[in-house]
Order: sequence, then C-alpha cells, then structure tokens
Amino acid sequence: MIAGEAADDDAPPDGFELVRVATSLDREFTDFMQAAAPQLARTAWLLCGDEHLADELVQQALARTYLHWSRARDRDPLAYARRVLANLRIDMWRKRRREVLTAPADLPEGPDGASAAEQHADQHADRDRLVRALATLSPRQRRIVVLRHLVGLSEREVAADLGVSVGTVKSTASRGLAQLRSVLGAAAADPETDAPASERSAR
Amino acid sequence: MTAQPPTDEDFGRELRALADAVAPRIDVHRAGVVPAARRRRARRRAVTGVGALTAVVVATGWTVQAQPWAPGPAQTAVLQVASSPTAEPTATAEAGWPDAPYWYVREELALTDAAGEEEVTTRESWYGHTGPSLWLEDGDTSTPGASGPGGWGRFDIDGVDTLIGWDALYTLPTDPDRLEQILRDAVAADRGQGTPDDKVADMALDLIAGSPAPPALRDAVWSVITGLPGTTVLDEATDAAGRTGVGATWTAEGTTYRLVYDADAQRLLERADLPADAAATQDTGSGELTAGFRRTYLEQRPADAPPVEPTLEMAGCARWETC
Repeated sequence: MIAGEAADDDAPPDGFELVRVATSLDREFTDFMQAAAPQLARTAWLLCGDEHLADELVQQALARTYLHWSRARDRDPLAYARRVLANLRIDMWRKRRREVLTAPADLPEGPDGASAAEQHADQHADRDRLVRALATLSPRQRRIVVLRHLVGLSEREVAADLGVSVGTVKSTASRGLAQLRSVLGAAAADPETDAPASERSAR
Repeated sequence: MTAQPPTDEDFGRELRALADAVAPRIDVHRAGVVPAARRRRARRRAVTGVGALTAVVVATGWTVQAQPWAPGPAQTAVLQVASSPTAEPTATAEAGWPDAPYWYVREELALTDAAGEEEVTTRESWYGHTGPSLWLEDGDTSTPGASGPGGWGRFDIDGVDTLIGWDALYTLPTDPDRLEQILRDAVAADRGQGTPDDKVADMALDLIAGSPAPPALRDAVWSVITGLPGTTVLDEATDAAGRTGVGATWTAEGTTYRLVYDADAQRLLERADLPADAAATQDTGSGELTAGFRRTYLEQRPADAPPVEPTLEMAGCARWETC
C-alpha cells in the first residue's frame, strides 16, 4: 500500500484484487478440467476411436473452453466443452478404420474366475467390434448416435450441440442405429471374421 | 410367440452399456491446456493490437447520431462513438482505410443447384463511404445497380436499430471478447435465425464480408466466429478461386455456413451457404459444393469513384435518404 493513499481498511492494495480474481478463475477452470476430462475423453474416444487422438481432441476442446471461460462458466461449462468437442474436425476415421486397436490396460481377475488374459481378449474384441461398427457411420451419423445414445443426451441437447433440428436428430439417429444393428448383428453371427488377427492366430 | 425386436431406445441402452464396459481409460494430458490457450490468446492479441490503435468505446456506452441519409433517428441511426483519449489510428495499411471515398469489391456470386450445375455472376461494387453505392454485373455498364452508402450489417445497439456503416466499422472494438459481447447484447429474439451463437456468427460475418473493416477488426471477427462452440475450425481450406486459407464451418437451422479466411492478408476470401444435408457429403477441405450459394471475394481495395455515377433511377429510389 502506498503511503498517504486514502483507502478503506478492508480494501486490498491497488492491483491485488485483480490478481486474486484471475487466480481464482484459473483455479476454477483447473478444477473443472479435472472433473470434466474423463467424461469428455470417453465422448472423444467414441467419436474418433483412437485413444491418442481422443486425448488431443479433449485438450483442444478444453483450451477453447479456457479462452471463453468467463462466458462458459456462466452457462453449463461441461455442455460448452462438449459442444466444442462435438464440432471439432475429426478426420482420423478414414485413416484408422482398418487398423487393429491396441490391447487394453491390464485388468484384475473377474468375479467369475475368468483369467485376466481371457478378460483382456473379451474386452479387446468387444471394443474392436464397437469401434469398427461406429466407423461404418457417416461423420454426422456418428456424432448424433454417440451424443444421443452413447453419451445419453436428449434429442434437444443433441440438436443444440450440432446446430440441427430435432427432427434431423431423430431420423439420423434412427438410421445410424439401424446401421449399427446390421453391422453388430453380422459381427455376432460370424465373430471369427471380425476378430483381430492376433486373436485368430491364437485360436 | 415371436419376440419383439428391441426398440431404438432399447438398442441404444445396450450400446451405451457396451461402451461403458469397453471404453478405455484415457488420462488426458491437462497440464499443457492452459499454457497452450494462453499462447494462442497472446498471438491473437499481438495480431489485433488490442488497446494500441483503435478508438475505445467510452464507459457510458455507444452514442447514436442520425445521419442525413438515414430515414430518421427514431428508426435507424448510424453508430458513432465518442472520441477516445487513446492514440488515433495511424495512416498505415494495418489501420485500414478510414478515409477512402469508396470500397471496391470484385466478387463471384455462384448459385449451385442440386445437380451440381453452377450459375456464376461476376459483380463489381463500389460501396460509398458517404455517397451512394454502385454495382455492375459481368461488366455490363448499361444496367448498373445503385443504393445508398455502404452498410455491413444492422443490429440493435441499446435498443436502437443501427446500420453499421463505414465509420462504425472503425469504432467497434478489436478485442474479440469485447466485440462478441457487443454482438451478443444485440441478439434479438425476432431477428435472425438459430441460436444466440448462430446470430452472433451471422452478425460478425456481416461486418467483414466485402467490407472496408480494418484488418484488426477482421481478425477479431474471425476469432469470435472460430471461438463459438458450434464452429468447426479447419486448419486449411481452399476457396473456389484456388486460394488457400483457414476455414470455419457451422450449421444453423438446416444450413451449413463455410468460410475461408486469409489470415496473412487479414481478409475474408469466401463465404458459402448450403443445405446441411448436402454438406454431409461435401469435402469441406477442397470446397467442392453439391448445392448452395457462395460469394468469392476476388478483389477488395479502396477506390476513388465508380465508373458510372449512381442515380436514383438506377436504384429505384425517390431519395438517397430512404434508399
């Protein structure tokens, strides 16, 4: 405090309050990031099918949310970040559609006594099947199906996120689910042809 | 008894349960998020020169004065801002063209039908700073069009329907956050289409589409548009003239908007509107359209005078004040 400066006894020195507000907003955003990242990462993975790309997409979405934090925090910041994420350009599907996914992290033995290796194989196969099925959808179908059914948003929320009508959400989601039913149904009928090469060779 | 096939809702729940079971745990690298965002903000501010050269809105808000050619102060007005104690813009390209008499734009207007057939018109416009404007299509001087002085958008400011004329472009803030707030405050329920974000994007776009807006305002507008959560940002996009820039797309009320912006020259190269269903099959990178309308801005610069003097007869108006 500058000597001789008239000030309220409760008022902080000049400039101190501004710094304190900025730090609290950053702290607030950091807390938001920690809480929101897992959910955003799951959504991102469902949209792109790749863990590393999902990480990058979430970072991008969070960075854009930070740049507009003063407005995002006044509304629903998770919805804001999710909307940014849903509209990011995700073009890796064309490159990665036919790639075999990497194996999941190690898991403990399940309650039914299944070995960790067996659980790995089952989960790997299911994950691969889901990702390959989602890859057969058009980008817009995938965004709508993921947000509506795999994330669990309402039709109105999906329409707002993607800038389309509720009618478009209904019809596109229905066509997307029909496609997934067809693909997943075919995969269930002939699991050998859909399993990763590493598993086929082990059987 | 034949089992009923699962409904979409039932199947959706099954998928969600499957996703819950198999989704990998992804540890997002959060440590770099805030530093990266700050670097982007610092780069943006370095380009726009926030607080350096642009007139600042006084704390009391915007003042509005009627201009001679406006219909009347009760209906419309031209935006004016009280002079700022900060530095006046210098007469450099970075400061724009605050004093030029006309703004010349040469553009391609292309209407594309669903079959992919394109009807292209080349339009040359001379937008008047204070005088009337003129345009020619396909170089035909025998059928010119005319209108009042140039305007790039109109929206409510403090409840007043305000035409954004040439001078007003030089009084708008070039800080993206402040600019967006002004646009957001001007969002009206009965004007424009879509969500408030869509309306903000539309108003922002009007400010720089073929306009003499200063480069700093153009960059600020681009930041506003690309900062909206519903906007998809393209690192590279090509316009119909083969020029490459950065791109942005968003969908509102069944229409997908696509922009190409030259970040180096700080100007909008192209804007295109197309039905959202058609957009789903379009390559947003190359710019090949299946249907819609586009305006490709081939040339934009200050000019002295149009080749033909605009007349009220050309404009079909009785007075320039109401044209």
